[in-house]
Amino acid sequence: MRAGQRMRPFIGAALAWACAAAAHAGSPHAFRPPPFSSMPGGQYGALVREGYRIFEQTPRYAGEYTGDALSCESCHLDGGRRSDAVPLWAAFGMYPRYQTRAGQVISFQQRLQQCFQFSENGYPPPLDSQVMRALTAYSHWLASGAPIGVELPGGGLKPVPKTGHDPDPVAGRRVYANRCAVCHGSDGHGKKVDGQYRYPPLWGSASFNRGAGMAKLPVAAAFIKANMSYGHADLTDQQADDVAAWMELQDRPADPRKGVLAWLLER
Amino acid sequence: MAFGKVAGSRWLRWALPFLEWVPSYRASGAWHSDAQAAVLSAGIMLPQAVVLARLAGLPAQYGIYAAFLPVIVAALWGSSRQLLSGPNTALCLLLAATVSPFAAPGSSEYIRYVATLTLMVGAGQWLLGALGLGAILDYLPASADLGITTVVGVTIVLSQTSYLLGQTPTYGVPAWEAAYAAVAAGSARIPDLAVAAATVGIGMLAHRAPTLWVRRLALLIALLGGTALSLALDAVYGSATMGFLVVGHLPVGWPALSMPDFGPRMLATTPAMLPGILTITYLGLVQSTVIARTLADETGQRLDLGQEIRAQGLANVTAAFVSGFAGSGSFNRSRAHARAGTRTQMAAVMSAIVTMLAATLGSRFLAEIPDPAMAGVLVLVGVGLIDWSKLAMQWRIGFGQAGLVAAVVVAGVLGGLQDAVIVGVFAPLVGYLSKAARPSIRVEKTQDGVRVHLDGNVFFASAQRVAAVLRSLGEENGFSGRVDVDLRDVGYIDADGFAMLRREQARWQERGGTLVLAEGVEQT
Repeated sequence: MRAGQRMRPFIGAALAWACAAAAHAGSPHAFRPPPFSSMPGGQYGALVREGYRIFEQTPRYAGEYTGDALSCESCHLDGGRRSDAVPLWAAFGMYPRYQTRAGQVISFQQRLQQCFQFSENGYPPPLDSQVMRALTAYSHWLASGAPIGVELPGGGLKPVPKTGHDPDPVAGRRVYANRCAVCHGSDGHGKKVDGQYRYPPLWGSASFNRGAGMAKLPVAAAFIKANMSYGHADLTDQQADDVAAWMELQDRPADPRKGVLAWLLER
Repeated sequence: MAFGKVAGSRWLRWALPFLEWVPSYRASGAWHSDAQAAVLSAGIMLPQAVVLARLAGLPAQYGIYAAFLPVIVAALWGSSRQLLSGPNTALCLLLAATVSPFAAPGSSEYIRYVATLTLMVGAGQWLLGALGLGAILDYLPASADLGITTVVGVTIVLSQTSYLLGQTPTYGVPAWEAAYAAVAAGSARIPDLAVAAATVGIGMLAHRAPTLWVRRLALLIALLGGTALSLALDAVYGSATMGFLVVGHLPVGWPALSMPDFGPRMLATTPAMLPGILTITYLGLVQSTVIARTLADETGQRLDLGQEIRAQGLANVTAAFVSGFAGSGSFNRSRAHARAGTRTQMAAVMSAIVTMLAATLGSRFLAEIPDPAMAGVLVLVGVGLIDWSKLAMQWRIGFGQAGLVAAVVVAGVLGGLQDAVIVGVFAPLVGYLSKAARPSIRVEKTQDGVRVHLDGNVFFASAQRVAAVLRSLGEENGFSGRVDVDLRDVGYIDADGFAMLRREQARWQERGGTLVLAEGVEQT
């Protein structure tokens, strides 16, 4: 017994060590994209860097295809590196994949075209355009060493578990005013610092259109739950649902998959 | 006036030739008709600037920049009052063919390559003009020029096939192969096809319209029509459903400074690009001077061709630094420009400014121009370059003419425009050489031997022919007796020809006979 008692701290330490090792090897956050300091040189590196620039300031560096004030970075946080914020290192290996919306297997580049059509409310960059080449190269670099065709932990958005209550936009409005309006503005139009959007507009003409993934309540709720408010995600599941419901009610550009006629009929 | 004194100096007139007419421009009263022509020309220029940039593998705004400051420089420094420069179909194809093996079209590296290449072309052209070597531009016969233009037309139409069908184009293969691949793929996007067909149809109708300005602006009307249809389809079905690829928001404004690059990579690839650079340099000047001459013939203006060549060079040097690309005079634009009542170079200057203003003010519209509408406009441009009646006339002129045109066209369509230019320049040279290599050789018996009378040139190409005659003469009579070779009517002897004659003389001497090379032989 005594020996056993004396062993206890050791067993505890060993267990802790084993857990830490296991966490390091197989934890949900096992994959780490290469650090910025290891960005390659040469032609590939130049393209990666250009892609990074576009990713961070899309309206500025890919303005020809951008129709709103959002950058890729607005949703794919930390330059597309942060887990549970649709990181690019996880997305890259999942293409080509079958997409119900398109009714066919689409490539990563075709998915990027959709980002521009919906989230950027702009025009699809041609598959052979420089913007496409650069963004693809940047994503490719972020996914260096990531497995192909394997869902990575932290890769997408974790759905918000069912709370037993319907999302309540009126409650969401209150949450928004208390927690979100500081940065995104009480009108939801974002905030500029030095003429550049520091906090992205969440609705209005400078935000994503109704065809975007973020315009769907479950997607927005999952994103908000995992990432908002920025830096300390502390909303409850119900609060995330509510804010997403409030956001969904706001005005934003029409879904470009639907013609003006359909859009008018819907209103 | 002190100013007049300075402007009167010869050097200043050489450096700034426009000082001769600009100060008196207000008094000349040409302003009104020049301004009218400028607006019309801008309407012709704008759609071409956008689609030709695409042909050169560059973003659309580069076409607009190429149609702005370089055009102004070419007009102010040039001699022709009606020549309108800017992006040119043939040069755009050559640029793409020269640079695309080394960088992906549209990439920042590609753009740097184009700037460097444009600077080299401009500097080369300016030098040609400054050294007074403009005569080499006359070495391209009109029929070869016709062949080259035909190649440009065919290549443009072929290169647009994939856009007409809504496919991503294949790079790095000849245009006919890309067109074949596009058709063989057997897939076409119906919206793209519809917009392209509408653009071409509207353009053809406008081209046959009874109203003059409608005919002149056929391309612009076609582009507007095609874009309007695509916008209508977008509105009804939704733009994401239609999925047109469009020009996008152009960052048009005052052109950004561009820097030609002379880094080690560039220097390493320059030798490989040199044939392309030389072809662009040459063809750009040929086109500009041909047009300038034709227009000057019509108006009776006295043209300073050297000044025109230097101006083209200056314009391209400018283009290299203001986000443009190598250009030249354009036949269709200059022709319309002249017929619209242009009286001075100021019309071209104003036209460039109007083009730029229109592109800036209309950038919201430019953004919506879809790929198939641009492809449709290029098809109209391409088909317009193929002059069937002139081609048929070549056939009637004779087999040699038709053969040259056919050779240029086959070489160009199969091997690219550069091959077409090479065949166009060298095939006539070979033809001329083979004619010059047949001096007439008359052999006459005289009292004291044989007299050989040569009429023509004794040079590297004809030496063997002359030698064969002399030798067979010797073999007939065993190299005995005397042969007089009469050189009075020989226009030109080169080292090869002279060596041959000395060799035959020595052979004769060895065998005991005499061969006399005589400039004058007494007539008996």
